[in-house]
Amino acid sequence: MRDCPDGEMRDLLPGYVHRTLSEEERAVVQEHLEACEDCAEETNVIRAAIRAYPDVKLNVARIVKALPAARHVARGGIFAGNQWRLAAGLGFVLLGGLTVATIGGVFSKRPDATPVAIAPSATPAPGASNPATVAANPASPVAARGTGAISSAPLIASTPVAVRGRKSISFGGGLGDLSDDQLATLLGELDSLQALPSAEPESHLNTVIPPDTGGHNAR
Amino acid sequence: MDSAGRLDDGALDLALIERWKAGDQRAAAEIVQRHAQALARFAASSGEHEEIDELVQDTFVRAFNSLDSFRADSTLRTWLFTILRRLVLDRKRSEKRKRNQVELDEGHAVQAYNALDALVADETAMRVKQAIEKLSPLQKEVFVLRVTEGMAYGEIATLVGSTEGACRVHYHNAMRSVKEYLSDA
Repeated sequence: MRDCPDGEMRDLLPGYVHRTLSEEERAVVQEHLEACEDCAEETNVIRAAIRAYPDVKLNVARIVKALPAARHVARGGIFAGNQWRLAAGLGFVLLGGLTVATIGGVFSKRPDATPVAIAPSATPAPGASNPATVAANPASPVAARGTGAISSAPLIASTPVAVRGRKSISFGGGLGDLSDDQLATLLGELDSLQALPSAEPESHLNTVIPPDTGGHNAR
Repeated sequence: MDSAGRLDDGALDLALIERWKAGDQRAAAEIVQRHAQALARFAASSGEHEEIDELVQDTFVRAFNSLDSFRADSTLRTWLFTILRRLVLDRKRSEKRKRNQVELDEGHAVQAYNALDALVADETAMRVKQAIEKLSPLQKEVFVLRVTEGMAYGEIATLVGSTEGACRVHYHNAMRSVKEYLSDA
């Protein structure tokens, strides 16, 4: 027996025997087989090899019986199989919320504390701002900057609103503690605040009020 | 080539898997019906003459136990054959260890082989089978999967952990060896 030089045709022979070729391919192979004795013999070898490994007697019912039952997998989208993560996340959020509420409760116990924007600061750190100041005045440019404005000392120092607020913080107590002059100053500050553009160039502000000296500007 | 039909087969298998996952146990029976015989033939061609039933059953049990992790990177058929192949290899290793402990009863082995061959009525088929038995293990695997199951080279390569090109070379070398054996006989 010899090998047909057409390797691609020989590669089609198993598919021809198994009847898995397309109609076109099958017709091409059929035509080739009529002319090529080597491929015809090779096809006979393939058929003989198939007969050499006949079907084995199998107890299919027993195999099926041994299979595990289908598990109904809960397909809950992104939450599928992540219940513990979800519970842990909720717990974390609750814990954080309780912590914030506790801290907020401690500060709000001052008898004269008011929810007004210019509440006295409980944090004496020079570069820090009072979150209550920002939160209580959502319309201000600082509040619009979000949490980044609160946590970033240099940014706050370069922001006129925060600096001006810090000046007012040194009055101490709530609005009730302010004298008429101080209230007038405060109102003046607020008026000038409204007159300011919502976004001033940072570089200009930095030259006027350096971030690291913000604490010394308080009255 | 022969890929169109195989693709359909693959899609049908995937549909059956989804049905089984949804709780339809009849889909599992259909999957077994579709692949059990091919697996049994492959087991027989790998030299397993006894307990082929159990080998095939173990293959399906293992496959269904981890069907959730089946990612369809290959076809279900290739995956099943891969599981069976590992089981056969494990069993052969185990038998080899036993053989080291207990002296092999050669007469019994030959008798079992002849008894199986007696079932093969076709003279040519028997001679082809003898020729296949003389191939190297890898050549034999590639040849049997290609010839008896009609697998594509790519599918065989995935199964035996080789390349498509290497499998093609193995197949043609195996075919040449079988032809030479038949010519000499």
